[in-house]
Amino acid sequence: MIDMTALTEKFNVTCEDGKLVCADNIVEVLDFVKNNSQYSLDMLLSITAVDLNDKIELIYDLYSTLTDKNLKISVYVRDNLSQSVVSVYKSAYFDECEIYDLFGVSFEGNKNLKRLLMPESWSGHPMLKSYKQNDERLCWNEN
Amino acid sequence: MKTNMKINIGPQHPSTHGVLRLITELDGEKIVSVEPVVGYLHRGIEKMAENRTYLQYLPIVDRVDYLGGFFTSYAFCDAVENLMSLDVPKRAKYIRTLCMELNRIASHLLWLGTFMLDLGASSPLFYCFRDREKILSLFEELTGQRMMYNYFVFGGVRHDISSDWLDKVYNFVLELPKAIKDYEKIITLNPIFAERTIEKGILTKQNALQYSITGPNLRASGIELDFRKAMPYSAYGDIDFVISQSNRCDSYGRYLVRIQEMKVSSDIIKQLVNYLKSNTNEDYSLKINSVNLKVPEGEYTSYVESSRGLLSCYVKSDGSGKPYRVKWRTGSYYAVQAIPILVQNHNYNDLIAIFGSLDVIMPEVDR
Repeated sequence: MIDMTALTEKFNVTCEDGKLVCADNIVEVLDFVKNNSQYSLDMLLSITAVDLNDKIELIYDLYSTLTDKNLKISVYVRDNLSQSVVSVYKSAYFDECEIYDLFGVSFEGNKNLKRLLMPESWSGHPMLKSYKQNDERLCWNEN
Repeated sequence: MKTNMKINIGPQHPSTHGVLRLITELDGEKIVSVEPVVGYLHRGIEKMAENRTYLQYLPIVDRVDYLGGFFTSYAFCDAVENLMSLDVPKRAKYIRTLCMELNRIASHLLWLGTFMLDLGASSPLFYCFRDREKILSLFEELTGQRMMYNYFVFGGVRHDISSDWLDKVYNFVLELPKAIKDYEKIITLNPIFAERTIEKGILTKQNALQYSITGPNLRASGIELDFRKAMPYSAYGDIDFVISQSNRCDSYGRYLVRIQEMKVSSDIIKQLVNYLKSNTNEDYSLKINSVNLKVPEGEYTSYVESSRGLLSCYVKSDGSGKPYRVKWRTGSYYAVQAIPILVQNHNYNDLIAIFGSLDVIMPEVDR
């Protein structure tokens, strides 16, 4: 595991359950941990979104192929708007499109944000806890 | 006035290994840009988790990657076991590793056959399927299923393996290197194959990292990252094996890495069989009651090196009998994103050849 105290001091962020909690400065933090030779977290393994009812948590899972260490950074999104990290890690494009599609979070800076998995004409964001599953277009009805 | 031509490939196309749509822009025969469109196989596997119990969800995880059911099963079981702080018996770990390595060989064999078919060579397909069939028969004997096994359970495996079955596995891995030698004889130095793969679809180190490429595709770009070594899980910590790697960065390199990996897998299986044959009295499962299983609050991400790259499963539990959130991270998902940079400025006929070399399967992308 990576020592997070230096990062929490540098960016004035907190640490929670082994994850660094960032806010609007996510692009700045990712850019730093990717290019700084002390961390060199050169790979963004995935972005996971979790609907926590009042907010959505985005978990950025980073990995370094040089030191074999990984770091998780989470961002809490309250107004369905976050910062795009495609400028730092290109692989984030699909992740951001998927999260936009399934959770309705928009990413500022992602120029081509579109529905990835659901049809473009779909309404609503299926992975939200508040999404109605008894939608008449679905052939399966579960409570 | 010269204009570029737009061609739509798929989604129903025999060479896209599932249903992938590629919107291609051509300047004559040269590819100007490609836009992959995914989602045609989306089954909502992550959403399904949220209204099923852990036990009900277990058979579904095999469907995330139908050619690597054991990997996805393992990833989910591992995450749940870690949340519950269960210590899986050693024998179960070895059986699971054995299944996963056999699965890796089966998956690579299917890749090799279909990749050669993409290039227009139909005979390797039959050789590969002949050998893959032997593995599927072994799996059928063990689990009753050829593809969707549902054999791993929380705390171990469903039932023990017989020494008779182990003998069959051992005989298979003794024969496999001979079969691989045959493939290599007809493929590796074949001038047509070389012409269509060497220097084609260059994936540089920087691009591989930028696009989060993992697995054999990454190792063919000169980066020695194998999660079996980097974060040893199951029985891999006790096993002695080498990481197959190539610095070629092209389609040919990806072929060499996978061929090498099959040989490494058969060596791993020999070690596993030797252990399992000499330690028959150990427990194969904790035999916990998984009906109405309650998982303590928390979150865990498991990392598994599947045949198509890093497979990770994030499970968040709120203490109830159903997962709060399950997220699948798969290798193909990121490989699809890299197609545009790999095929740019290549001829149109190289598109399928390069795409085939990435070993992308669509159910894993769309989930």
